[in-house]
Amino acid sequence: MNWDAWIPLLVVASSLLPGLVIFTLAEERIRLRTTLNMFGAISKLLLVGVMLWGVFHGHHYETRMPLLPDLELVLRAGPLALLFVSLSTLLWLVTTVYAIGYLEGSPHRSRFFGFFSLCVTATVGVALAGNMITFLIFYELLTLSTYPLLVHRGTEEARRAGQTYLVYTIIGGALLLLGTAWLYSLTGTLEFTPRGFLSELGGEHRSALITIFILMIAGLGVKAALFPLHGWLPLAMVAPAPVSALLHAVAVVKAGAFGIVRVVYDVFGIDFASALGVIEPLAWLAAFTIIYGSLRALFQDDLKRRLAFSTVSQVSYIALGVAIAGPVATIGGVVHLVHQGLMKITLFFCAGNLAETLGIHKVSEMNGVGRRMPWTMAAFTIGAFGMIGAPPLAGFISKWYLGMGALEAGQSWVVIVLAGSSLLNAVYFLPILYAAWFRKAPDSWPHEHDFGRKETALALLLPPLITAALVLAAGLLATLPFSPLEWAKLISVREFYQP
Amino acid sequence: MSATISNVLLWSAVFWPLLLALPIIHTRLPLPRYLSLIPALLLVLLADDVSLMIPWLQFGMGFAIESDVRWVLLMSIAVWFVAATMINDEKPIHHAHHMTTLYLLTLSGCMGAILASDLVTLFSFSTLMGYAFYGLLVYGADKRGQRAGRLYIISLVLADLALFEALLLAASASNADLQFDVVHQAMSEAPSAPIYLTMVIVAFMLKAGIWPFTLWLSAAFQARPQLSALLGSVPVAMGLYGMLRWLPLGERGFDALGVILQIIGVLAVLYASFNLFARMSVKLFTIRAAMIATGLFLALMGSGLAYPSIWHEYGYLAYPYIAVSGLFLSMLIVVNGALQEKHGILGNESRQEGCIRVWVEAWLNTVQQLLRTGVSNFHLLWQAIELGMKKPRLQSVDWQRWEKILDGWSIKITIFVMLGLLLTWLAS
Repeated sequence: MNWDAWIPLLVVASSLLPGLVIFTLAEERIRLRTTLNMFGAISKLLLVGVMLWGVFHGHHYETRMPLLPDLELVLRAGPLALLFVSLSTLLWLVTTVYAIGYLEGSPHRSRFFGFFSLCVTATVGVALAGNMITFLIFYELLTLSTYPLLVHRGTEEARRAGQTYLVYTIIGGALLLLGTAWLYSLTGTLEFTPRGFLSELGGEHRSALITIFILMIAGLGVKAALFPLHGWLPLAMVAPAPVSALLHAVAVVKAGAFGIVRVVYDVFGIDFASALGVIEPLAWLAAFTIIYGSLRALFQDDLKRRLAFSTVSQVSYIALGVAIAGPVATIGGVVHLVHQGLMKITLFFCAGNLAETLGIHKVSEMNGVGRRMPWTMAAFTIGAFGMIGAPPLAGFISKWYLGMGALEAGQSWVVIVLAGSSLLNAVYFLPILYAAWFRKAPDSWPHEHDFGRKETALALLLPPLITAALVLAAGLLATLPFSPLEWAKLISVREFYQP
Repeated sequence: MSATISNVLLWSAVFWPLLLALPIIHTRLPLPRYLSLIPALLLVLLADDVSLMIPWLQFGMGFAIESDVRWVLLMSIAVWFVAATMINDEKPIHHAHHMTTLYLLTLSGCMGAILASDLVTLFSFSTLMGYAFYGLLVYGADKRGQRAGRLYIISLVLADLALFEALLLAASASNADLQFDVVHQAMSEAPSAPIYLTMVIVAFMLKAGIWPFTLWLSAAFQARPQLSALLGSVPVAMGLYGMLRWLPLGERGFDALGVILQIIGVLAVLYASFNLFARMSVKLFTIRAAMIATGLFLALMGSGLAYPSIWHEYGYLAYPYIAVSGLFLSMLIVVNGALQEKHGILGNESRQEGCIRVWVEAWLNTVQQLLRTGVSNFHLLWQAIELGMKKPRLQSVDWQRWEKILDGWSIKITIFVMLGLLLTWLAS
């Protein structure tokens, strides 16, 4: 293997190896654990940077290893894979810093950071997977590595949420496996191919292919929290804030949404899927989930639960962008993969800060919190306005391309869905901002920690500020080279225009 | 002036207030609210007609200063200057900092919207202006102010959604080239033009509080006297300005829509006039005046849409009309508020209604006093500025001093009333 063939493997290993070492560390080895965590995160980021540069200049990074007869473990860095890998790698670094601050002094940190690293390893594996079997392996590894993080607190509520999560995701995984095995029996290959590899089958196996599509989307839809498979996500908010951030922005939900993109584009191919008639129902399902999630979010007083329903709504923009089946909408859907991650992680970091610093868990407790924690709430404000789709933030760019794509594809109803969703987003985010900035603060907070003159610990404050700045930058500097939007355009061109 | 300096001024007029809005900067500078206006003032007075494209910002942001825009910009600077004086530096000090931040964000949004040369830029900056103005409206407000804020934010969100949809239609029709001229041409031929026009008109009627969407404006007029000057120029005048920029006026006749607008505009004027004379109320006078001004404008827009030839002949007057009505409304509100305060009208609930006579007398007294003191009143203004410059960071403007400054400003009010009459005469 040459150097280019090693890099994808190294990217996966850069979090796996530190993770395995961290498992063995005693609780009190704080410095070593932190060093390993940061080393893993930074080295992964550097390697991804090298791949980004390389792919932009035409390099081809691929690792192949035999797995089963006729099946290989394939890691490949294409534009779509790199978009997701970059997101998860960057946000992993930020989340690691946040988790170090958040879990300071709490028990079982070696266990936590061990699984934390495994979780990111699995996510990167999902992103780089070059065929369906590799995708499936890492997809299941993701389920198994996130479960311990979810139940980390060990409370009854956490265990129940973990149980629900396992039931949902294992059933989802089983459906995906069934669909994959069936597909393999029909085609003899599972290799991801631009514009899919099923068009050659023609109309011969139409019913079977429709069933396979439904099985795969249902399997992926569990993690992507598509209605009605979203039930685990609001319960999972009992997890510590860094885990919530990971679930909602970096790993689990994103892996599901990314999987849908992969299946539609690189397994079925957008044209073939449209011809099968499976794309339009997916668009309707995504649209319904967008409105449903927003409506449910309206009625939640628990801040993290409100954010969780917001995720249900927002992640479906990705599926919607794919299902509109046009080049411009694809840009909107794919870029939202990144933008939603940046915005949602900001909001979860801020929610964690409020809980850790002042003991605030509910929206009704947030009166005047903007004056007590101005930096945190400034970051929250940027994230919330991004979600609403206010210009020039990242969410505006996503909604712009989705709306343009819908009009281009002659699906004007999507524009109404976007408007309705934005309106609902405003209705459930603006009262939070109003309460935080303009209402009078109470005499005392539910459970206040003293951080001296600072509003909270630096390790907790820096991550949301960085991600909020990225939300702003992703919108303001959207047309710069290497921006998420430019990568999304590259992916769209590859999918729709390249021979 | 060289094009480079003009470009720098154009850039600074928008982004300088945005930079100053950072608390870390404006809390370390003297008179940040006044400082923020300097580039815009230099731009309007000295710069040539230039345009500036920033390709790396968002989808490529464009700004331009043209002769038409100067009118609106000049009006805005005047009103923002008054507002800078009126927004008192409250205690505790962090309240004043917050107000200054919101003031500067609103100002930046306003300047960006005025100088924008394409639809997305105007939309982005007007959104910034709208949300920041909401902050100004509700920060430290009582229940009436909060209610006004609620009504305003509902209008704003709905308007922005309608504008976003209209923006998508425009982009779809013009191959994503959103320069005003290109959009106007594209939308005059596009099948989606009626939907686009309806959305744009409704959105800006909501934003500007044009009848029958006057609910938030009425509430806001009565709730925040400190912000009264801005009410005339920020949401109202900028709403009218936005409508003017977005509508494809003079391109093709949209008869039905034009006539509907004319009818709504005339109804607004009649409704406000009838109310004005039926219920002589000082408190409601300014609201009715705003309704008349905006209703007239709506009727003019209707004429422009229905009869392109008329627009070609007289359309250029729309910009001065916005400038004059924005300034006139703002000054009317300020003077009215000050006189009500002076004569105890606001403080005495029983005297609030039906005392237009008192108000007229008070106005005449002010004019008489103005004639007596003449030009020397300007000296007071200059002194106030000098005094402010000498004080580091936050200065407090007491009411008496403000009233003296106000007396000086009355000259301008009178001049602009006369100018308004002159323009009306010219237009007729």
